[in-house]
Amino acid sequence: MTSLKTLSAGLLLAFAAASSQAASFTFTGFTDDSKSFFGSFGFADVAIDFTGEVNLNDFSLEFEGQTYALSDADRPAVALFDAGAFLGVDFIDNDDSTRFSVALTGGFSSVDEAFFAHGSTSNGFTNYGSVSFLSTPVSEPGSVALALAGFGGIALMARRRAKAKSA
Amino acid sequence: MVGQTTVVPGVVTRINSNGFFIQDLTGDANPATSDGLFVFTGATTYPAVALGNLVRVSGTVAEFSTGGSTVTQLSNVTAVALTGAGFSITPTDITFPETVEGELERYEGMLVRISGPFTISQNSFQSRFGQLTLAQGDRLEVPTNRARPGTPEHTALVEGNKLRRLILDDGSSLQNPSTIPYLDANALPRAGDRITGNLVGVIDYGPSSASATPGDYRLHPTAAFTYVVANPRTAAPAAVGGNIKVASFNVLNYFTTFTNGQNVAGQSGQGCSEGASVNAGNCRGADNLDEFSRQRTKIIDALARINADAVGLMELQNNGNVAAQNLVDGLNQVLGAGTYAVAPLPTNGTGSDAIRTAVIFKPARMSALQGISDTASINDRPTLLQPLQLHNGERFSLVVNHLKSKGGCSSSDPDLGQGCWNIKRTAQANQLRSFLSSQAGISGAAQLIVGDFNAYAKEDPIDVLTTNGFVDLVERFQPGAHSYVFNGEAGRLDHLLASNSLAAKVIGAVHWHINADEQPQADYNRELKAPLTCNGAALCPPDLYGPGPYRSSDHDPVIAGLSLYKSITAGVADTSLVGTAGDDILTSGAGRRTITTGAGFDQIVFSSSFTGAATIADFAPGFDTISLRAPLQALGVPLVDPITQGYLSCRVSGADALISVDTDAAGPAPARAWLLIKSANCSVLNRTNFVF
Repeated sequence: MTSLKTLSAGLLLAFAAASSQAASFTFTGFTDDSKSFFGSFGFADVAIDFTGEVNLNDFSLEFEGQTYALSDADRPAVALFDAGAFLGVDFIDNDDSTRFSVALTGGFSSVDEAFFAHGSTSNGFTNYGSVSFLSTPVSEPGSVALALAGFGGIALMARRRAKAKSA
Repeated sequence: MVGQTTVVPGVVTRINSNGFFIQDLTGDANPATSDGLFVFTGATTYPAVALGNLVRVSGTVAEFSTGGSTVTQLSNVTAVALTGAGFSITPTDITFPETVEGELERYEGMLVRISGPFTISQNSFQSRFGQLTLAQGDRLEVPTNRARPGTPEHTALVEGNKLRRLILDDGSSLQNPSTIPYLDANALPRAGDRITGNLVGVIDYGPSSASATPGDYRLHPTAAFTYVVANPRTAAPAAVGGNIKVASFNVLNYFTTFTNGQNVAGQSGQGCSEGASVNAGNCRGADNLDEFSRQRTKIIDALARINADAVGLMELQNNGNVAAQNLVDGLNQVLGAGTYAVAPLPTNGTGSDAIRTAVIFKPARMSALQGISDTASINDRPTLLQPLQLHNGERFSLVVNHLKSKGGCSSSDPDLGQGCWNIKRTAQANQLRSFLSSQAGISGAAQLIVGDFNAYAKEDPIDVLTTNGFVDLVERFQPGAHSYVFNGEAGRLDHLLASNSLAAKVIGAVHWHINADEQPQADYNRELKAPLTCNGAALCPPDLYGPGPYRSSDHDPVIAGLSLYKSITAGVADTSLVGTAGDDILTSGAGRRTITTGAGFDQIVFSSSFTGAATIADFAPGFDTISLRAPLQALGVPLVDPITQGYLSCRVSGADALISVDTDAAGPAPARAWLLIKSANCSVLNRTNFVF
């Protein structure tokens, strides 16, 4: 699971950095109490060494039969980068008392730190989950290959960190 | 009988300084009459008088006037004949408390046994008269400290106190003896300490206070007894909570000009000002530099241990800010330069009495705005209103009072159960109300009234405040608490009263019992203490002075904890949350943001919508705390000890500490990164820094 996630992160980074057009990606995961969620998001290109947040221009999350859209976000939903490394997505919808509150939270320094949360407006976030980011094939093949070559190292680094942590 | 010459047989049960008690060997079996008698011998001694001797005393029956009543005794003794030895009288067990005041009369002169426990209610006359005021059961409380005068509850307390009270006497008419009777090491006992067992001794009647009248029944013990420390000294006042600690302290005439005409600067021919006159006779404090040094050491120690952010003081010499500054200089020598400052003199001045009130404060915690005093002619000392502004922008006014004392009645304002001058004090309290309503603009309605009101908690001057929008904070947290002991009864003259809006922000209030319960012989004064002589060439009682805070004054200080945080709550879209230079409560929920606390004591509180992504830029251990209570509770994490139990973890991330939550600790769910504490290592994840 870890390797898939970190590889996905590398892919995502590659797409984001190298694509000449708006990128779009998917994510999926399970909560700790075994509920599944999935979705997609997109944002405009950022520089290859970008650090900071970029606003999402597209977002969709399916959870417990509900769809959460970009317009549901309580604050601008963003993708996060540190020196070009993708850290995850911040999305929060905590102002709808008719359905679960949901949140995706990006990491501080690694996409490994990203997680999902759900709960309710009144009771706060009661459950967490792990999220995996995957790409969708919308970019040019040539760019993908280039990006993969350039950022394989990032994925490796992420793997090493994961290993050290579990040791 | 009175005036008759007679011969009385009896066993010697107790020998006093000026006579002895005898008791009939068999008694008359009539419980309504006493079987004992005091034989007054003055300075004459008789060889036959020894404990257990059966004697025949020739003398004249007399009624001796004492304590506003009379006691039957044998005087003009002409002979004491020995008729036997080795007798012992079995003490009569008596019912106590009395069921009717005066019931003990029937036991006058008799050897009795009274079952305890007893509480020492007053030790003020221990050194001078050899007396301790006891109460069976708990100590005596001033009835008007507990109940409004005239109410049935008040009447019951007055009666109950009379019935429970008993004077323990040393059987000596000598004042200020070289040895203080019933004194343990370390100037014990304190009022509030206990005698747990029975007391055995002879019942007598005589003065019970500083005055010749009224008297009360007293016991001259014939058997040893022991104290139990039931009211121990504490090294510091109890914690009061909140972020701002405010104290009120009557510092017992802190004068930097002495009664000998010298002053602390070493000048001679100085005087103290009172009304239009300036002379040394107006000085009320230390007699000389030596006494002042002793006084100063104790007051500074007490104030340093209280360590309040602001203190209202009473009984400072009214010499501008000289006396107050002298006190602050001494405090800063102990606590560090600049720790305290004296608030500038108020608009309208400090009045013309010999003493004044003042405010000292910690500049690191607040600043003093221009104060104002109320010089209305009804006030003996002007009320001082000192607005204080915390560095987070919050304000309150510390209002310091010293109302007319209870002593020295005039016929126009007599003692009708609330001390002399109750009418005047009540008028002063009403003046205070009108002054405060006129000054609400300075600090809004946040007014904390402190001071020595010379009125117990349920007396009229306090009542007119508590029935008009002010809250008696001590009553709220410690009903019945005391700051002063008088006539054997404890009550509080020193109060903290908050306006309604401020009262909601007061977390706690306590009196610190360092003075009222202590032996007066331990104060800074040199009078009536060895090495001076008191009875001819005999040394006065020992000087029990010590440098600590105990008996630094005659009043106990009173301390309140205020929660005057600036509350700032981040909106969900905020990317930063920035505190003030003072004490803040910074609340943050969902959303990625950086929290900068600023200086002061700050509480970072994460709400239940928190889902990580918080960065704390300037966490200061010892000043700031992080509350993760709400999000942990939402996640169902036990709040007992989430660090030790593995729900929270930390790893170093660059120069920072990354705190993660693991909702099932050792279970399958992984830890999730929650908050990044900049420039910290993982020792930051410590119970002292977190609130759960």
